Amino acid sequence: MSPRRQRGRRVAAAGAGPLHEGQGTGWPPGPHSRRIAWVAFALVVVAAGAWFLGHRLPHAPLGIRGPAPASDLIAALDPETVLRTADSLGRAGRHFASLPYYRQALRNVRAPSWQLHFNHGMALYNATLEIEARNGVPVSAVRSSWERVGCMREAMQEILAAERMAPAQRELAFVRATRARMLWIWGLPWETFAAFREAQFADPADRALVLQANRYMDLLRSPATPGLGDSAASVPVVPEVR
Amino acid sequence: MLRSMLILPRRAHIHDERCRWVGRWAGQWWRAPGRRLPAISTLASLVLAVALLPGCSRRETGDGAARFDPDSIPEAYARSTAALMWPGATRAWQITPAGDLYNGEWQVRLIPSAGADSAAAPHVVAFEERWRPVAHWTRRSGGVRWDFEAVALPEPAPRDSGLFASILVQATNTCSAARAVRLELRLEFPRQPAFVAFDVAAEPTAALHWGEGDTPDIVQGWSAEHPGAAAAQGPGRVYDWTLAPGATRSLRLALPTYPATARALARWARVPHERRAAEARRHWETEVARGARFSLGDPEVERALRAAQVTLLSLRERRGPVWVPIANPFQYRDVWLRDGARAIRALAVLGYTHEARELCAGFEGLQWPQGAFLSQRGQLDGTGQALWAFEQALLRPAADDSVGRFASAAERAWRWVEWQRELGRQSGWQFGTLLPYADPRDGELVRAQLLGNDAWTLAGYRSAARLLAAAGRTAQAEEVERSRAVYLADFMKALGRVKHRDVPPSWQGVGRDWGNLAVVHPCGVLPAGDPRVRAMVRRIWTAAGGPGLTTYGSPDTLQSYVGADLGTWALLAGEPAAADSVLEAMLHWRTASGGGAELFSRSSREFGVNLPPHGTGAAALANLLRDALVFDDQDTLRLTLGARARWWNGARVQRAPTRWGLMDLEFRRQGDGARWSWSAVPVWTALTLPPGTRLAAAPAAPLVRGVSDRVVLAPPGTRQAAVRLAGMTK
Repeated sequence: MSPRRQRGRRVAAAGAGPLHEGQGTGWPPGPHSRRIAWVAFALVVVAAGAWFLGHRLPHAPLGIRGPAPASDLIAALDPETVLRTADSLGRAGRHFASLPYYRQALRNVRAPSWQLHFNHGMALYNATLEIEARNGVPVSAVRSSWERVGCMREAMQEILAAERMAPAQRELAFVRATRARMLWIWGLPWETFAAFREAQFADPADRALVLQANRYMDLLRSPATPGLGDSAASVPVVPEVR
Repeated sequence: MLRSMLILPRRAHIHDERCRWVGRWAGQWWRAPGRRLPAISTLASLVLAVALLPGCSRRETGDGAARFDPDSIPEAYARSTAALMWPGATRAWQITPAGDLYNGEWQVRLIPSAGADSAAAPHVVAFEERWRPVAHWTRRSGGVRWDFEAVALPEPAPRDSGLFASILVQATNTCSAARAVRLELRLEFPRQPAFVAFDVAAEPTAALHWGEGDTPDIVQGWSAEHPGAAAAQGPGRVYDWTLAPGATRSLRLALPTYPATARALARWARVPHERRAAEARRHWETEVARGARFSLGDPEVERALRAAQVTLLSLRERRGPVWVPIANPFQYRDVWLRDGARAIRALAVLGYTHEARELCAGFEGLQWPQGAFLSQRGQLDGTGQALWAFEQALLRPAADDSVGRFASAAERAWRWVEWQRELGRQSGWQFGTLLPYADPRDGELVRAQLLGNDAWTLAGYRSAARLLAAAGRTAQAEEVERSRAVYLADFMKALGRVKHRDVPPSWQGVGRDWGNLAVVHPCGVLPAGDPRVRAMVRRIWTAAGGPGLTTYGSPDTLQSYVGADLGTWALLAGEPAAADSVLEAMLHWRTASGGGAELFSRSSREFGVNLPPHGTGAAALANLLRDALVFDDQDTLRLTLGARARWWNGARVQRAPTRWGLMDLEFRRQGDGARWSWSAVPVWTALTLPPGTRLAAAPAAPLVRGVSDRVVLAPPGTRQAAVRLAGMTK
């Protein structure tokens, strides 16, 4: 048994004490006994408090537990400021930092636009790739792959929501092509190819999309051929729709 | 052969003489008339009283740091380092080769000196018996020996992500004259850190402070003693002492991995260091004892296994209610399916069923909406690995209640792969029916269609079928099995087409050997006797200079765990000596604290900033060792596949989880006979004879001779077997 669990056991034992010491009426008769009862009650309260502190507080070290949750502060901002902050953080490459603002922006409107879903999705996706220097060492802005995959799952939902709400074929093709690039970077080739073709079918007039899909097909067929992937990978994924 | 390791109790000779004296006295007293019966009850009472006395363990009362000689512990690498870690903690303390401590944010420099002589770096930083995580290191300056002992324990509630390290520093004057000594402590932000914690600020901002006493100040270190002339606050402390000849002076430190109040540290440090060290020892001995027990009569191997258990149990972090496996306590505090799957398997076969299943639940967070499991960009082997890990953990020793949930996840993953294969089939391309290309930025280090991805996915199909069957979804299990047969046929057809004489890293033939090494075990795609596999193993071992660890990239760079699968291949292929070479190499390349580095130079023994211990190295050692004794991945239970000659003096495995329940195993060689006893299983059991022996005669019924005269088969339900042995003829 770990010390952590042993601590819990001790607390439980302390909490059970008065129940065994009472005489069945709930209140001991004499003043001395009453003092004991009060001490026992205090012990129960302390034990309950200790249990609460030990088990109910969030699992976060003091070092990262800030003064107040950021979302509370952001919720107090006016919607325009929230959107502007999200946008400017994204443009500055601080995608992970922009996420709470995008979340608040989505909460601020009754029917979010396809652009808002798209930008939120892009911020989630870009956060998974974001690298920061901490004390001179480059590290991922998002803690681990467990959180990065979580971001990508949410990003995919947001992008699909944007696709469903896209007002015209051109916008639909744009969102699908963006989804293709996201999947490409994460290494899901058939999904990438399918999304490129879907983008092409959404806007057949766009020759660039045809070219892109064809290039990617070449890569799928002959992945070890030098240069193929690099030429297509140069297309950036940025939140362009505002 | 590695040097043996001992906890060296000082003044052992005095203890021995006392024992002899007590023995003589007791003998005379015992022989006195009329004393025997009362003596029995008195002695029994004494024994009982000693047993019941709380806190009377030898270690708790001892002066830990002075009783242990860390330099007696072997260290494989050029620089010695150790990790003070704890399950669930989000940071760990690294004891650096210089003898300082670093937690990913700030370092604690310990600068001892005597007169003008600064102490040199420690020779090694060792754990007790090379596994028990009580770290010891010694430094010397001008005739003064500085002994350090450190342990980690979880930070008291309400925090549950931090840990506190208790450090005891002892200076002993070994000269015949008095010496003026100094211990300087410095808290610093390192200029070029080897790694940083995930939650440090972009630039260090907070000032660093030592604390003492019971104050509310936020501090990064706490010492039990106020230095004579120094300020109470600030990042530095200097202790000046004068030591008479033979005298010892000590200082207690408490180091949190996250800033803490001096009050919290003072409260924690009210418990003396010796008791904190005893607490850590007790915890880890209990943890090791609750797993499967391997009593092999081979202390070096048993200690290596315990070190692996400590590493595997420690390299787990919480994410809310779930747990995830991390690869390393320092630079790889991240989740990889490829590493986590190995850790889950190792924990499962070592008897940590609950922990292994908790980590499987953590893996659920890595499943993508379309069904694939993907943790890192371009690493398409993750789907197969996740399914394999689920099977390993959830079906041993019996199917878990949650198997239905994981079977559903496996089914979604299988459907995703089938969709991929269908698209590829429609393309009509040469390798279209196999998984598409990947660029894993790791392992094979190439963009190509990786053979290992298909091998692992096929392993995932087998696991999915087993999970579905265990969940009672027989029809779906059969459907998955049928699709696996088709996939395997596509795999074999493609293997016949590649322009490569063995099993290449990718279908295009390019890349470094990585996933292809797993093609026999654990993936079960090719049989151990396949000539292509044999050729691949020969090629890889020839490049490495023989069976053992494999090289990676340059011929001088050794990789600590990827070649472990070849060790299991050797067991299955009837080459136990080669398997033993792999095990021996893994045993050799360990730190004095029992951990292995992932990559290092063979010539310089340097691991650079790729610090040990690596979780997958620990998992590989545990998995190979367990496979050498109990192998249950196929339809036959195989016992003693790679048991060393020494183990045949009498070995015992207890509570080993297998696919057919918990298993006890005992085996022994006596003269020209070998005996086994084991828990009955509902399948045939293959028993491998001791090294260098063969069957002297046909085994007695119900045993039958196996595929060679080194193997006998026991029918289902058998519990014991004995055979006559003869020496091997070349």
